[in-house]
Amino acid sequence: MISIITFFPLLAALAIALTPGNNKGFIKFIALLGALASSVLALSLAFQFVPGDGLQFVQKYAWIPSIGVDYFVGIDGLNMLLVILVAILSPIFVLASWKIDEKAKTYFSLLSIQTTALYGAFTALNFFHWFIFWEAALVPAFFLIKLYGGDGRHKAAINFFVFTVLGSVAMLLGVVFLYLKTGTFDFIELRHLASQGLIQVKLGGLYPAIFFAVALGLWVKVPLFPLHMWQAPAYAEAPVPISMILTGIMSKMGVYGFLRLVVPVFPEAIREFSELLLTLALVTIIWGAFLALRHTDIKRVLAYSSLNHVAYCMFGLFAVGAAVGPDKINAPAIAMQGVILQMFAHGIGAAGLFYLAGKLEDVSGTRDIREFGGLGAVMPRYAFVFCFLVFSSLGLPFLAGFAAEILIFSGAFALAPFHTVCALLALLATAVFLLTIIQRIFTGTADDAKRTLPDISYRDVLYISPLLVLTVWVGVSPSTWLAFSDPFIQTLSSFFTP
Amino acid sequence: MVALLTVILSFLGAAVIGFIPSKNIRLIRSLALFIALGTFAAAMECYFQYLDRSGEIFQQMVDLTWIPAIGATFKIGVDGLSISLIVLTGIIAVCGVLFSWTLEDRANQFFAYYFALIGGVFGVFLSLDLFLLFVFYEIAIVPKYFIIAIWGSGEKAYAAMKLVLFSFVGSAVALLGIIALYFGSGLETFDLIRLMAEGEFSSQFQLVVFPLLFIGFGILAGMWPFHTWAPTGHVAAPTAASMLLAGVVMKLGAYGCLRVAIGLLPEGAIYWAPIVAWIAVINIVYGALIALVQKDFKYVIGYSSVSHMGFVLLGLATLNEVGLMGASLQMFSHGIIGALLFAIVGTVIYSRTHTRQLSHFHNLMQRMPGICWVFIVAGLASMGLPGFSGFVSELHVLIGAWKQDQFSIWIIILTGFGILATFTYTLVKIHEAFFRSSPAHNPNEVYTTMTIPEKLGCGILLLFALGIGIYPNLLTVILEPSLMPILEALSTAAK
Repeated sequence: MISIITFFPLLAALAIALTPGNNKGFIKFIALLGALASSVLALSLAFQFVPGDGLQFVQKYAWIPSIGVDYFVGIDGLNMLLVILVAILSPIFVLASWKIDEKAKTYFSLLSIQTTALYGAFTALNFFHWFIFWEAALVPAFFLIKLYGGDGRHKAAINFFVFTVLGSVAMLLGVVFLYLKTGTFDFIELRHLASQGLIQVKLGGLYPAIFFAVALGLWVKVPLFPLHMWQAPAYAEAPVPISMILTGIMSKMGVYGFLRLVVPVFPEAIREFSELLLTLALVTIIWGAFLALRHTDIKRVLAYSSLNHVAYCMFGLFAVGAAVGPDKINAPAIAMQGVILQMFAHGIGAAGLFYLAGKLEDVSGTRDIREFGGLGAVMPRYAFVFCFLVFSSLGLPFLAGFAAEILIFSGAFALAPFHTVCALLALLATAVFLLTIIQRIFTGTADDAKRTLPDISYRDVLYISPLLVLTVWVGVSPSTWLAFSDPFIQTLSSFFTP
Repeated sequence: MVALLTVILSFLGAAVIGFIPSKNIRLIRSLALFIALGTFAAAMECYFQYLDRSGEIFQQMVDLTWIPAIGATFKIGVDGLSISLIVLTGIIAVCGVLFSWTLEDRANQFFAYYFALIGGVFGVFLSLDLFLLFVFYEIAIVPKYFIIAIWGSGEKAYAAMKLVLFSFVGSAVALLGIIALYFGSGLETFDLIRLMAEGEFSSQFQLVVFPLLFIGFGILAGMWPFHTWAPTGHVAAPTAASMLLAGVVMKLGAYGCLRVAIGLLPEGAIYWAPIVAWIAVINIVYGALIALVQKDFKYVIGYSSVSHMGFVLLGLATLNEVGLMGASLQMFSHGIIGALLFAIVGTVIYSRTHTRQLSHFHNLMQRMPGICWVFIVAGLASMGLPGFSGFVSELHVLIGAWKQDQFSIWIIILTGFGILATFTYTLVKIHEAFFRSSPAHNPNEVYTTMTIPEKLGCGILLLFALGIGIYPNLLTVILEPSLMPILEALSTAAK
């Protein structure tokens, strides 16, 4: 079943590649169909999923026995929510691309391949298998930026690629070494070995080096300071739907990698380096907020906002490594639940905001927020939707961002009080820059040229309405969503409790 | 017997086509395609028979007395290693014809030389007698000279001469080694199987003779510092010949290194392995860095071949199961991908732009998007993108190298650097070739889309690159039993 979900969009890509290029309507239809079919199947899996029942929907076949590679997919508490996220967002990516007519054939085939890679990267459980999708997600994104991006697209694309590949090669070398010492590429197997403390024993003195090599590849993808330089140009230059993919899902691939490959396999290293890791996450939070405040290109601002928000995920994740007293036995689980929910909430919210930023650029022809002002009166519908998503990411109660952040902070506070206080103060900075955007765009009076801008159409709102509904749903009833991952997180966090 | 058919068909084909008047161009073409398909079918038949009869290591044996005075026999047979390479040769032979579809200048002679070369190559892969192997090895050299010197481009006379001289020097050195084996074993035989089973060579002998054989064959594999014939030769050769040179002829050398040098002299191999590994790393890194600064598109591919052959050599130097498997997979993988890249650059793009200078290409992404995408996919495959054969084989080599405790950690680190350099030159060259504008050169010329033979050729090669990348078992299943005897010899020698 998972394989069908994963490869269906690839089939759509093939079908598109074989369609004559001038048949644009048909091409778009196929792309949408591919994405929708997979979404429906993936969501149906979510209904069949039994929390606490371990790995489900498993497909496992020997693939390259000479180096211990299996074709191995499955869903457990960790990736269920992320598969749902891909399922919800992937048709929206296609809809958001509906206006693209130039070289539509190439565009929609790449987009469909990308969708396959995203499903694959979240469901593959053997390193080799997973790595294929990890890299496969990179290639279409690279070309989509390079071919369809803004003026600085060539530079942005190559930066994006080189940073990610540098990290990937380090990660590949690290995992190959891990394989040589343990004899397995299997994520689940590695977790078992680690829970018996065997990984540390087998790697010996190289344990920290291998930890950093593996972490590096994910570090770039998230990204975290100081390897975030590729991010803002890529997000800003990419066509809007691709920015949505980059922030909505690909940044989560990095966090997911940490939860799948680093936290369970290197718990001792997380513990040992928690000071350093927490500090770097904190620096990313503050630095992201600061840059977001300084820039005026709306897509760059949103990119830095993304940097800032995803860093909260990493903050919660690294906090579990901090010292745990016997009285705070629940704290790691709470923090990690927060991390998972934040991935989901941010994926939805950030994708929505980039979509809206794209709409604004479409109607006004600029992304510079200094040129706006007073749009609240000119485009009331747009203003409402935009503010709604901003407030969610700002952490307004009963919206998705709040539920996630409160979990992260309440978990982290018990574990690393000092850093958490700093992070809470940084939350103020986040609030400041988010409110600044709203203020600059929507308040004041619009100049003459902007006074006649058309408001966002109902159809455009309809496209992202699932995101708005989910924002409220996750905010009001987070436990519905947390139920997926709860048993899994309880097991995982037992690594970190005394 | 089926295996012998590949050799017979090729030489017979060469003779027949050579006598058809060159104005019967259509007949020549179709006959060439037919012969190439025939050799491919014979190779595939060997493959399937090998799958069925998995017990015997060598199959399709033919053993005839030939020159009894010196104990040379006409002995041929195939194991998994040779099958993977004759299948490769068959594929390249077919695609080479497809990419020479528009060649009209003395086509009869061209295809005669072409099939003579292919026949020689098949012969080397099949020979189980060192003398026979050497004869085929020499046969393969001559047609290369004429193909490059007559149908080549650029500095073709220089390139042809250089290639032939390097090949002759290599084979002379290898011949010394082979004669040493003949006398050193005390058996006075050239029979590979007997030498492997009964030959006993002293450690002293192995240490001295191994370098002779390895360097002799290694020259043809593009081993640094004897690689310089490869880029010039590949570039000057017409497309079908560059495909054969990069795709198959370089593998002749690597095959000789594995089968003869390592297989017969395991102790020597163990002694020299660390040095071979260093040379391999130089191949990988140096080839990639030189490719990065080339301005001629075909030279980029030429140096990338040097870099990729470094992975084969590194795999050989590991002397362990995973590494040798990686080397064998990489031979196949690079054969396919290298040939594909030469085909696209040498024929598909060149026949439209009439220049190979990267700085002369103008907005190709807009003007020939389909062709650009095919090259991009091929380039990504060559870069080692997961999902294509290059990644599987390079991963095997990397794991093998890491398992080898005698290698310095720097070998791994530099190989990692080489992989990064490969990523860089691939992307940089894709950008330079397709995304830049240079209005000085034919900005308004309209380029045609790919012709049917071109589409077919690219399709076949891509299919194999992807097939092995996704399901390497297709090859590992025949390679595994064939590598066993070599590994056993190595483990006995280690004690």
